[in-house]
Amino acid sequence: MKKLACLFLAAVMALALAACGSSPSSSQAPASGAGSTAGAGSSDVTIEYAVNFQIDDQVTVMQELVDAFKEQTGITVELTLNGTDYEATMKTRMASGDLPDLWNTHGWSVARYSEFLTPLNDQPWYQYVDESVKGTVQDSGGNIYILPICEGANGILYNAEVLQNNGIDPAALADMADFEAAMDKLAQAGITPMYLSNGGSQTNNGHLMDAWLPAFLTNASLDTNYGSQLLDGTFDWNDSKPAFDRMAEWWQKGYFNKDASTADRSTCFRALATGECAFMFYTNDGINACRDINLECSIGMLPMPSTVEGGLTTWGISEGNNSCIGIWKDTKYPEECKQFLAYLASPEVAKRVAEEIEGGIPALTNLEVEGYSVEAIRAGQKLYEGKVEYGSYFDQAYLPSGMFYVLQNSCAALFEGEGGTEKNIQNAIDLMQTNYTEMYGAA
Amino acid sequence: MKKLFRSGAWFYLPALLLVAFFVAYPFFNAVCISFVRWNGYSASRTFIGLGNYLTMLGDRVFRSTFFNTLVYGFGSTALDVALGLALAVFLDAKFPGRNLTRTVIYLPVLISGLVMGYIMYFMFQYSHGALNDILLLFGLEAVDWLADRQKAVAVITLVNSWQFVGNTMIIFLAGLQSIPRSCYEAAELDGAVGWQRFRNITLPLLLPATSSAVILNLIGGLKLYEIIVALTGGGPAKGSHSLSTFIADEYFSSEKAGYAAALGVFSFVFIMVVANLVNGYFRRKEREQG
Repeated sequence: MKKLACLFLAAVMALALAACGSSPSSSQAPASGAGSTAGAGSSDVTIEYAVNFQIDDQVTVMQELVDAFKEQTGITVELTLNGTDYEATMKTRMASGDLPDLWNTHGWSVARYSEFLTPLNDQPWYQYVDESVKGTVQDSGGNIYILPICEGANGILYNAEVLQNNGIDPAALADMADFEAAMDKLAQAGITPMYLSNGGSQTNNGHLMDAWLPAFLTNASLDTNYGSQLLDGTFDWNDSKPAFDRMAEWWQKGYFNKDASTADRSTCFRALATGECAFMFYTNDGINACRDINLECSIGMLPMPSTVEGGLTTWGISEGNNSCIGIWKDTKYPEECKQFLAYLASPEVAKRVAEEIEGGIPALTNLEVEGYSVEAIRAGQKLYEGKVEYGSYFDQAYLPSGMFYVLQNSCAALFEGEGGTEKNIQNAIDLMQTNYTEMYGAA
Repeated sequence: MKKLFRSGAWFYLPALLLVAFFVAYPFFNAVCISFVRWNGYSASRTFIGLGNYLTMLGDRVFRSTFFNTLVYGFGSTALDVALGLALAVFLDAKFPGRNLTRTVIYLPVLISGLVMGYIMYFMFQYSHGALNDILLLFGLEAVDWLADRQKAVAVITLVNSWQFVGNTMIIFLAGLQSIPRSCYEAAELDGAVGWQRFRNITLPLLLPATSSAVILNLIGGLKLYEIIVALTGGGPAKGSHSLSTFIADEYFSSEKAGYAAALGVFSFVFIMVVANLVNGYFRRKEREQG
């Protein structure tokens, strides 16, 4: 009896261990079942698509699209949602070699994910990829690894009503001096000019740095351009002091919210959407996030003003955060994945992705997109026509992968405690220097 | 082998396998990773020997993080033990609503640390935070409670203590209920009252419970993670990180997997040494008491 009990217990433990060891995700399990084939258009295949959506409506729209795809082809696409943990989850899955068949690359198709993705230059939709987008999504060999449906934009979001009520014309904010004069006017009217978040688990400080630093370091209007030094790893971050000094000056002048050091990103969206503030740095995603809070709000987008009088403003472009999809190079179902991408690239489907999921400017030339967010971005681009320098987001263009987080921390260091002191500035610069040196050594 | 089989020692095998699978293997893996420079996902790793450990020595953030970890560990333990004991003594007495009070105090333990952190964030946040709304109601100025690192660390320590004081209270209640009435009766005959009874009877006989409470709180505090993630995200400017949150940030955000592994090895060894020293101290005390 005793022996039987022992055997039973041992069997239970062994089964438990076996269960723990099963690595394929639930979405892959049916695919490897008996009778599945990996040929083109195979109808009993399930492919996993990891998405970084954080808004329920985005998931609903994509679910409708994958359901329609299943009706057409019989191929099941299972959506995997990881919310705010998306990046950490993807890094873990890359390390363990257990990646989804398809995933959203949120701006990192080349620098972070290209090692794991299939080149897609041979796909029929490739001919429609906008030339201006290719610069940000192809590697040095000219390969692209994603279907880019939309491009992302980084700059300054503004509440048009607040500006109008205070007699500020967004078309007259191209220079830093003009922008600062507008913020003075707002501050005098008792409105917080700019909201910034350095606290909580979601911030917008990295987006601020991505827009801010090019205006001081790499813009074509500058007398000294540090672009090549940044790229070859020789840049001395003490040369970025004017950028940090100016930000500290903004803090001391009261242009930022008092809780800039601890507020989280949702606080900024709420403040902009409700007219509590006039500006915040963020990507085009922020337009929909604000209108999600207050559908009546009127949100526009501006480039980063020029630090040189009459110089070029800076407009950051990148892969759209939610609409650029790559295929795992080791997927068992490459043809099915390509079929799915071709489906997503078809104008009527891509239009839904662009309008209802991303809200960004199309990255495919055969795509006509409308909607509030897209119109707002287009209007922002037209404001200073001929005076805008378009370029990849600063960290993606000039820094190794992993530095976006350092940009965030560096900004947070500037606002810590009293904020804006010489010590804060030096801490922020030191943080950049240490990590930049270390990561260039590792790259 | 037959002897081993008959002795029943092989009952240990499943447990050993679990420990090997979930503790020993990851630890061994972490030690290996701590000797390389690696971003955590790409195929290329560079062996740098003790480089990551040496980086740790010169890292200002690591030093402040280590100090914070000590505060979370020892600070939370001191608060929890003092408050938990007081509550246990109070709730050991019979009065109407005693069970309800016990339940209310224990409830926060049942909430996940992450949820507790988010709830507390809405209490402490500057804009529309519950605490500041109360201050504004009385005409006072709003305070940014989490804006500087000292205040942030203090708030996290308090929140952690408050969340887990119910656990400590239950441990002490169990301890109190195991003290024989005869001890108090004998003390009463000897003329001991109030504080004397507590100091000379209750406290010494609660030593096993105190030992459990201290070690559990200490380990929990030293590896504090969820509350920090939700409440401050390790900020301002990395100022409220514990070793656990710093490790996660270095691995996943900074993409310094090798350095994060070295921090992990240090953290593991440190917590093990501290827990063993404290455990040894209490065992010695218990032996002295006989």
